[in-house]
Amino acid sequence: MKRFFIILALLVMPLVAVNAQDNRNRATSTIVSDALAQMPAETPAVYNQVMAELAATGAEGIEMLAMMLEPMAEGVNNSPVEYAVNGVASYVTKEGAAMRDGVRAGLKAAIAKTTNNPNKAFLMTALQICATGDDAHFFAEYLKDSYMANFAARALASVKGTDHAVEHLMAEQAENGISKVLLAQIASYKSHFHDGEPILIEWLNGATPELKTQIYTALGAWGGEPAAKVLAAAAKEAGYTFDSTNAYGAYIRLLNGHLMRHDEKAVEKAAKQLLKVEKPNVRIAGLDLLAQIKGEAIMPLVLKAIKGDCRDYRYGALRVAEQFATETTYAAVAATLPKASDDAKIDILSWLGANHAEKQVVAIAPFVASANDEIATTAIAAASKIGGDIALKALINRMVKEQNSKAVEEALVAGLLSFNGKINDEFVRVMDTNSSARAIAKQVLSSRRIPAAASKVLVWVDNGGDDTAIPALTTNAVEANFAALCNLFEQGKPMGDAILKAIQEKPASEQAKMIQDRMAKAGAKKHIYYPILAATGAKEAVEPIVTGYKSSTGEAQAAAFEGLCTLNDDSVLPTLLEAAANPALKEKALARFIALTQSSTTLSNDQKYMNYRKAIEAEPSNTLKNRALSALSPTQTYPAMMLAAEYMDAEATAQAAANTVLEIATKHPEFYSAEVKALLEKVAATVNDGDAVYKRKDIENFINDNKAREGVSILTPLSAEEQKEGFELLFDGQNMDAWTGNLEAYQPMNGYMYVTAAYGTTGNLYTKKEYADFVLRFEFCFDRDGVNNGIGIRTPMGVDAAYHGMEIQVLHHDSPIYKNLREYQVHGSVYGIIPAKRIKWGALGEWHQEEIRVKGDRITVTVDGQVIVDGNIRTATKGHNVAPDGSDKNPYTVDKLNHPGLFNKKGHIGLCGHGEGIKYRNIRVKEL
Amino acid sequence: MAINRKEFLKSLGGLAALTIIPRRVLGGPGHIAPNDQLTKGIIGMGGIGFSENHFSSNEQCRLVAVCDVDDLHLQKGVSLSKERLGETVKGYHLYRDLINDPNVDVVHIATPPHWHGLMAVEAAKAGKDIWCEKPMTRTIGEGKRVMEAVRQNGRIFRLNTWFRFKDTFYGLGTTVQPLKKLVDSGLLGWPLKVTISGYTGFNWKFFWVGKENLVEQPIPKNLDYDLWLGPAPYKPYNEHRTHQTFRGYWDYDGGGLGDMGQHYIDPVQYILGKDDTSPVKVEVDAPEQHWDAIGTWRKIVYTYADGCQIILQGEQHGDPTAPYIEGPNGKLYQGFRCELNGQPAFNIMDKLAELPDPEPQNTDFIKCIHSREKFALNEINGFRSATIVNMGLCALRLNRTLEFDPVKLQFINDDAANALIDQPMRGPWTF
Repeated sequence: MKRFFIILALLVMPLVAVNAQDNRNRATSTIVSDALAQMPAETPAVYNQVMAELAATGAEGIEMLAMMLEPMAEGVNNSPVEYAVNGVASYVTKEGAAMRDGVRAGLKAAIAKTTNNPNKAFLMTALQICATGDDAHFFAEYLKDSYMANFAARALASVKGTDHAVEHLMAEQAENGISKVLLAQIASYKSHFHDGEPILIEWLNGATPELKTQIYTALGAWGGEPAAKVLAAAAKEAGYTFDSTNAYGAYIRLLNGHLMRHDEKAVEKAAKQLLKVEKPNVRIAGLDLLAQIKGEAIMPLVLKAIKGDCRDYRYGALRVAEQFATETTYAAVAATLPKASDDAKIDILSWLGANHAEKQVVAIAPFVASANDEIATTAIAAASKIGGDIALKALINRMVKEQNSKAVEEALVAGLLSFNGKINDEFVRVMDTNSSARAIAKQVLSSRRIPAAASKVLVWVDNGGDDTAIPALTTNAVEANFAALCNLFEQGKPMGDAILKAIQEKPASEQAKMIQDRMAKAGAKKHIYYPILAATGAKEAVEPIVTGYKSSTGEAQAAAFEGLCTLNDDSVLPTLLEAAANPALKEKALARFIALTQSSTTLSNDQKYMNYRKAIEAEPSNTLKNRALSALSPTQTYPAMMLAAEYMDAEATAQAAANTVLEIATKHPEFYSAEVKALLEKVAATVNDGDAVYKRKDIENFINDNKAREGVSILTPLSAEEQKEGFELLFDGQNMDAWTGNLEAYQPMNGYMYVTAAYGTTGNLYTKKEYADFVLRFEFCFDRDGVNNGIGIRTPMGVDAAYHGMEIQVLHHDSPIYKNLREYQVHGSVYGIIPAKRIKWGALGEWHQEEIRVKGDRITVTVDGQVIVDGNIRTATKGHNVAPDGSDKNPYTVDKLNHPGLFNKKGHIGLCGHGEGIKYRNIRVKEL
Repeated sequence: MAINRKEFLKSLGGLAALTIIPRRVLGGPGHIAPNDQLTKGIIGMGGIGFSENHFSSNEQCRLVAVCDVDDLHLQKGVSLSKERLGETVKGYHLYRDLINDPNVDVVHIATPPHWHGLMAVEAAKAGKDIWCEKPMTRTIGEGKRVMEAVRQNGRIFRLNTWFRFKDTFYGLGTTVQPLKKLVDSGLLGWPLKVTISGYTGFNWKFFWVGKENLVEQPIPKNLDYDLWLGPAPYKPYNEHRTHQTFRGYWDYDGGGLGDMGQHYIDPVQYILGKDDTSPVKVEVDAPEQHWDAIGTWRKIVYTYADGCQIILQGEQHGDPTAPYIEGPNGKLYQGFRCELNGQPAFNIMDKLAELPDPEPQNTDFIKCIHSREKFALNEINGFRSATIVNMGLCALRLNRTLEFDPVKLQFINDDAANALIDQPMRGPWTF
């Protein structure tokens, strides 16, 4: 509803906007309260509209708005004002200065008047968003306020154009007494703040550690030469270690900042100092600075680092070199390979590879053959990243080398699989060379498809009997292999996937035909093809497999069952359920039944619910029960929630059940009631996984948010009076145990039974028990115009109650669609036999009471206290429920039709739905 | 042959428990023996800090210190270290003491995100290697500083989300590898549009919303609330701000987008090959956001300079049939269902099997620390994917379209948005 309103609002908005200022002529207070009513704005369009109106109220309106904040306490709701204030402050930053000035002025006035600190801080945060340099002095006023100082400092640090004012405050610190720490901290967010530099340096005399930190940080951000001297000394004193004064960090930042300002000489000198420090990270920082100044000219230092034995520094130096690296750099690094230590070799090789130093592949390739595994594997990885003929040749040579270690073998497989370029021809040429090559080839080919390799792999499996090559064959099979693969399959080799792979390019129906042709020739082995036939996914596969399953036994049936479980077709669901009756197949059949239901795109959520219910009630293993219980969750239906709730007690199913209840209940506040609250509390006590804490929080929040409904019980228990009279409940709002038949289209929802015909199934709902003479009482409610339903009495199941028993009409007969209604069709009529007195229905959604009394041949129907039928079926038809002449025209009934079941002595009570939109509740019956 | 440190320690008997020798000392200055065992300290002993992947101690890396500002969490960290891992660890109240502990090689940051940037920068300056939980930082500016500090000090940094290199990628029913391969193959064409929504298998966890009108509560005795807030602006204490529910507040994180954004978006950045750049535009469709408590959103659209788009759809919004990846020539759906030129491509996996795999990534963090190679997801590409998340958060807070310069790392012509890039810290905290 809310969304609809907004769409409507958007449609009419242009008109409103045009008239806002002139014609609507709203007072400022009205604009403010209109805006608050729309907070938070649901869409950016509404936001822009409302904020434009608010901003236009200027200082007066904004102050008025801001002053509506109340000190926070239980029950206070500042949200709308906060949305409006924060929203308008953000909004005006993209608008003209005039609007912005008004908002600033309004906020400042409100801040000055607000006494509650958190509210004041909020307003200052809002002002910070839209403030300008002109507000510096306003913020400065609060630097000595213990609560507000941090907020004021934050604003001064953040707002552009306040630099000069801050420098001024620093210069006059002795007079204004503002905290040096705060001022230095603000200064640290500024840039090119040179007037402040001598002041901060002077403040270092006798500074507390806390003040030092802020000063160093500020000097590091923008300091000049004097700051550099100060920080160099401080960093040295700190031993170039990070400590709470941040001297080292600030110094590095300053040096990098100086570089940006091209103060290269001084930085170079400082960087060289850093290189002497015995800490790899500090030396790297120094080298990094030098690299920025001198570029490739620092290569001697990099080469020296490579030769050194500190790996941290070596790789750091190589990384630094990346910022200027050219082919010359790579060549220089590669040239150190022969004399480098083993550790260094590994670092160099991996670095060249990571940087794709193409030309250095010549230097890398020889190391592929290294006897040191770590060097060899690094070289293999580097060569594969670079790619090209030289790299490939090195890999191929290593592949055919006898007796590679496991590590080298793995590196070769990974290298060949990710090789930067085509490996096919060379690879196929050598894959058969020796056992070493073959071992690698089998691994590569199990994930890489190289069609040219297929015939060789087939030979390995077929003639060579090498079953370890089957994965490679499976990946690479081509159509030409089809017959050979089928032969192997019939010999008992696991070739199913390979066969499918071989023919996969063909349309599914053609695949199915090829398999069926082969089956026809396979004699006694025919059945082994069922799973493959199923996997083709062809429509044509369904019928033969279902038939195969139903008509065979033993091994053949098992294979057909296998196929049945592979078919991805909703039409096999009933067969799977049938198969579940066989204890040997039960588990697998139900597993598939559940999975197929889950993945179905044609079943409705209610049909899915029914399937899961059937699966659970078939008593499979707990694993499957849990799977079905979890699968109930996405159906998001009320009955699914109630079904899951029943399984929270058993320990083995408690978790899955509880999660499903949680997932459904908390997404549907409309389901909420005292009973659902109890369920959620049970869920909270039950869940025990890693997220349990969050889940309990969710439940707590949900229960808090829906307090209004928690007293509502959906249950309608029998009154004491009726209980005394001997009534029993058929439906208490939840429990459907008394009923059977179409439980899909008659669902307990939130205290009533909802009837719908949208569920794709037909059929009625019946009491399990049969009744002869009785009083039936219930309440009903029409949810939509023209609903048609009926109460079957004394009726057998599965037939039309109006003729094979009796049907007491239930009809929203006031609908214009029934203007030609016959008298024996109005609500309450014993359909076709005794017309009822027509009553006038009220509005849709109103509940009505009805009683149907059936005693011998007398039928009495009372609606809302008014008797609308009181007649005798035998008298009404003069005893002729069927035509005496045996024809299908019966002159004795009002509808001129035969009613063979009219005089049944007893039968079920049924609900006979013909469409969506009626609710029943509080159904109870008394036998007479 | 280097001494196996565990053996070495054993030989020292009782003394070993007292003295933990960091790797730098053992092999002489600056030397790292290849078989050496590393040591780590975890900051933040809340939810993730106890995850089995992190709260561990083994041959490769031993837990030696834990830190938390909540005494109960800290005690739990220390006692569980003993119980579960058999380690006697040092317990720190102030993270800086853990960072500066010479016995700690690797600093593992498992705090709420408003601390990530500062702690990572300080750890880098202290010469430590870093494992940082996602999201990398809660502002773009803090991410820049992490990148600088890690580079300048030559540190190894791992951002902890892993879908770009392992595990089934949420609801997609596939790892990222074949997606990368498909995109690199060019079969889908260019530019690409990637849709991350409930319908494509990604839940935006909108339960991470903050509460408005929080009433001040007494601060629990065990919690150092001022230190918990650290650089964040002061707000009166309410239980909901801290511990398990902090994600609902702008001051500490970014709601469901902050929580899951980097998990979901980082692999997309990898797939699209955008590890060294950022989108140039972000558009939002959302209800107006509160100044303090984070709300929900309907849609966030990121556009790169070349026209590639990443579209985030909130729950129950948008087109339920939208593919995960869509290009001019094809579409890719959940479960690797693929369409090329309007036809179902059933054999797509075989087409891909004929192509080279993507370049291998360095996925062993410990190995990276020894070899000093960059980890697969590091401070550079991690900064870029965190920036995507943070761009979205800025646009949400301002409720408007923002344009971004991926080189200068600034929004274009929008001071209010740029103020969200660099948010001053509450003193005394500072970079």
